[in-house]
Amino acid sequence: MKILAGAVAWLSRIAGAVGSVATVTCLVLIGWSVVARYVFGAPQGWIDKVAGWLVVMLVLLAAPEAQRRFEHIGVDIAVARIGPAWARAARILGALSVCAVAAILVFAGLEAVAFSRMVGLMTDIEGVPEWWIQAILPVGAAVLFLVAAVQALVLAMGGTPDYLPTGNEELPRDTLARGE
Amino acid sequence: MRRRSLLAAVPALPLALTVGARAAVAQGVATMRLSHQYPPSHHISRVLEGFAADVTARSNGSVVVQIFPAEQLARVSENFPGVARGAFEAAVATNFTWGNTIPEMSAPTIPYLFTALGPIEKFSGSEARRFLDAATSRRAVRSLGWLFTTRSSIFTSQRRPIVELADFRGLKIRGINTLIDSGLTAAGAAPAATPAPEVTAALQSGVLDAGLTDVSAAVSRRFYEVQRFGTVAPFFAVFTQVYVNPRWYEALRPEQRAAIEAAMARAETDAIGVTEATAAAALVELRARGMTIHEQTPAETAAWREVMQPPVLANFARQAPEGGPRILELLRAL
Repeated sequence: MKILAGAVAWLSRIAGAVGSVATVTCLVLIGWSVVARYVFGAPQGWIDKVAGWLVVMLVLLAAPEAQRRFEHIGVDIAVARIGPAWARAARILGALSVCAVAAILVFAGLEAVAFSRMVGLMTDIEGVPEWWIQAILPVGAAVLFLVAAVQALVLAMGGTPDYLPTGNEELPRDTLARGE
Repeated sequence: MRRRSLLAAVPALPLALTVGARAAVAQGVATMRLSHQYPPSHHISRVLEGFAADVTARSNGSVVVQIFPAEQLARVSENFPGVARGAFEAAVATNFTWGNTIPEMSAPTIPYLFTALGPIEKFSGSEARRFLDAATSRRAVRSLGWLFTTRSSIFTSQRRPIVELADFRGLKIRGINTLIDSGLTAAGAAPAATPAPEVTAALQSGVLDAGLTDVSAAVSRRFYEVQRFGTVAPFFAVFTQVYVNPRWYEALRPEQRAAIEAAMARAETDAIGVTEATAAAALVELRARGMTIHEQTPAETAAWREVMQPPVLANFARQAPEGGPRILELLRAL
């Protein structure tokens, strides 16, 4: 179990790292686009398209790592009051729900890729098929599925997944996360 | 069945409409939901409304065409996948929006290549049309008809008119697609591909310095509210292709298909007259709304063609190495 959890964690970190690179690349390109458009008067139309793809990439590839660190937005009022056994059951249910959503995304993504390949759908950027971009969806969703499945498995076997909140954590400093 | 189940899981798809359509088919009435991007006041929008009424009349009510204008059902980029997958039955595409997916489709829109009325009138019964229909069928949709949309373009601007080629230098102008935009780039402009529904707002906010559209759309999309100058030129021709889901279409009764095809043939004919009349009226309207309109002279046309057409033709040959020469040959033969 430890080997499996370690392998999935490694996969999730790799995906998160690629998502981080996508974030930085997106910011650089958008900055360049603004300068090119308003300083040099030369809009770079392709950047708008590529920036959109990078946003998709960063969201889908960062989601598994956020799930692994239990950093997705959640409501913990009930979990804090129902006792340890029910809290564990609630967390298993939560992880399985993520698995279900991720599975739907995997199948929908694979179908979109198959369709685009079948009809030869191309993006506005010459030489870039649409399915290259769409493939990010099943890849990111598959990693998300694995992360959530491992968490559910560890919880079901009585273990404690990495980063499981204990309820004693300090509230985050930023006001948005605190809900202020 | 599996594909339908997956599609039903995607929240963007109009499930309620799908259920309604199935119920309608079960009662022997086929519903054809047609998505398009034109505002209701656009002349092609009116031609499509006429097509819908004609289909109902010719089929004795056994086919109902529901028109969803102004991207109400799907955005421009969602039309093709939506129809091919069967999420709705029909949609339209301006020929150039097929872009890199079917590069041959951009042939009529190559600058100054196909803007004479005589050849345009022959297009619907031509080999060129059948060639493009065949290219469409390889992309999992069935071409139903071609509505002539414009052969009269307008270059709009706010600060100064665009008359000479030098006026393009440094202008951020609405682009069409990568192919056509190479002609604008050759003139010194900086094209930014912008979907038609977003152009007016882009001009107003200054994201674009200059607009490029057909003269009728300049009226229906209210360019006159944000632009002072307009240069009208026979820059390119645009057709609006109507296409349907082939599985839905083949499931119709023969008399229903005959009604749709007859109505579309009439719409194709109507579109030519409507487009020409609307373009003429649009010039009057734009002037009445305060725009300063310049109609390009033959000498200016020759100068623009000399600069803009060659790079587009070269790119076209590169993007469509197999079908490109053939469609050019067919169009030039008209």
